[in-house]
Amino acid sequence: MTRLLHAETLRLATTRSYWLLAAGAVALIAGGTGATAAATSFTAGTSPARATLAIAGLAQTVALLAGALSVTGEFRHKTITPAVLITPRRTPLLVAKLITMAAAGLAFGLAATGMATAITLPLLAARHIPAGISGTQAAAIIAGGGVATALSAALGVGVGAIIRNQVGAIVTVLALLYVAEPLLGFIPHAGVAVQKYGLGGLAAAATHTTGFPGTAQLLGQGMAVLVLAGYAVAVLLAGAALLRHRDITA
Amino acid sequence: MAGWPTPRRAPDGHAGGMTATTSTEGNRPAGRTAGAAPHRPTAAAGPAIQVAGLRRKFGRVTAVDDVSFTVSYGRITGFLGPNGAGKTTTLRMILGLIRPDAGTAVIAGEPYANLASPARTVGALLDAAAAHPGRSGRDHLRVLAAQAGIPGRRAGQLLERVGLAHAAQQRAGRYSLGMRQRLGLAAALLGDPEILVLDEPGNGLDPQGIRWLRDLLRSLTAEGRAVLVSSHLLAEVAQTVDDVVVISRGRTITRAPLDELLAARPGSTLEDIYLELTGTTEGEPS
Repeated sequence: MTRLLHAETLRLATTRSYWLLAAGAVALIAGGTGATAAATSFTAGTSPARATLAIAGLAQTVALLAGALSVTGEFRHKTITPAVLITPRRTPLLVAKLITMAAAGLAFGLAATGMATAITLPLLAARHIPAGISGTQAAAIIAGGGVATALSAALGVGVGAIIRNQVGAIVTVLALLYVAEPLLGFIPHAGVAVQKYGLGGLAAAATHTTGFPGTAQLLGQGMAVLVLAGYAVAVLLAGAALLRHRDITA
Repeated sequence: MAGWPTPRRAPDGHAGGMTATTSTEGNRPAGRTAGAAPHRPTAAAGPAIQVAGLRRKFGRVTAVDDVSFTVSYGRITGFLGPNGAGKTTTLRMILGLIRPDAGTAVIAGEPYANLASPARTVGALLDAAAAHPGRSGRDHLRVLAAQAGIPGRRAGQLLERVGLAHAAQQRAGRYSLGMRQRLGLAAALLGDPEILVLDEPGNGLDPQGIRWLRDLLRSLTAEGRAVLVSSHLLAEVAQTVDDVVVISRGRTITRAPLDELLAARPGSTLEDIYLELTGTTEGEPS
């Protein structure tokens, strides 16, 4: 497993697309939280800090995509063949990828959410707007950002193992996050469950930020982390079973 | 052109990276006979590759129907057949990448999945494009070396051996087809394996490259290794291989030493024999 982790770390470090993706996300989060904290007039009843830091949820989306790319890229570039030839047992191969991507997700999530918090709180303070969160809550937001991003990356690895086609995996993830969940959320009654148990609502709850829409009822932070982890485990188990069973023809 | 230097056999008869420890046979010269290499206990035990009754269907298409053949240590075996005959599927079944519906494939005495250290036993080149386009050739090999537990410095040595040292830092996406074939060969040689499985390694190589490849394969088998190589370049195959396996429509139709094949039909070239065997000349407008 040490060898596999070493190889996966090298794969991650020598693939520019991950770094471009991360840099893009950091720029968008910095710009988004900065502009929101500096210029938005917040409605009463919501915490301005939590509403602003919801923008840092982009870190989870990017991690989900990066996790999926870490598997689909192997099929797209046919590097899955030499990888499986060196390690014929495919499950450890997937586990190494999972550990590497989740660890990278944790670091990236902590950094991105920490940065967003460091931008948001001083800007709100400068405008004399009460942030509406305590220091402990700020720490919970940052820690939640790390954990939720790690779990998103893990979930992405599982998605990539199931949907090996790169474009297919990316379109599925984006359609689910930005089309299916927001639309289904508006269905009477059932929509409440989608807002709560959909990936968007879970990520918001796990990072202790505001959901979509702002009135969405969310799970508690700990429970949201557990449900998100449950999704990741289920998808990863399915992905591992398929990876073991399928022919490698790429 | 000389083959690459062969420093791999240490004076005590051990190969550099192999784990076998029997040294009772001492420093015997490497020959084209099986079992000459003391560090390869499997060589004496049987053939390098043994394929028996392989069959595989994809949906309603039978890609491989009944393929059986043997690859011996110290020999180059040419694997021939028309497009769609089932060559690539057979090679992937030997390497455990595709599951056969029936039959068995044993390599170095084991099914591929059971090999204790696959990269040090078998090296394969199946697709020249199998490299991330954004990664340099050197990084591509370093990743695979790390995965196989092989020191990263071997990446540089191999790039030199396959003539890519000048392009080591270049992204693989910028490589020509011939350069990618060389990179793929370097990846196959990473673990200093005793068996090589190569699918169309001559594709995209220039005449110098073809000659280089032939010398490389010859020197590898001279050290007692086994090479299984598929190809459509029959004139080249005729100059390179020791044994010939021909498959057509998913079935083995011939397996014999090249010498015997040619001796049985005086005046015919390998190409004549191949076209006759695979029936490719049938149905052509006369």
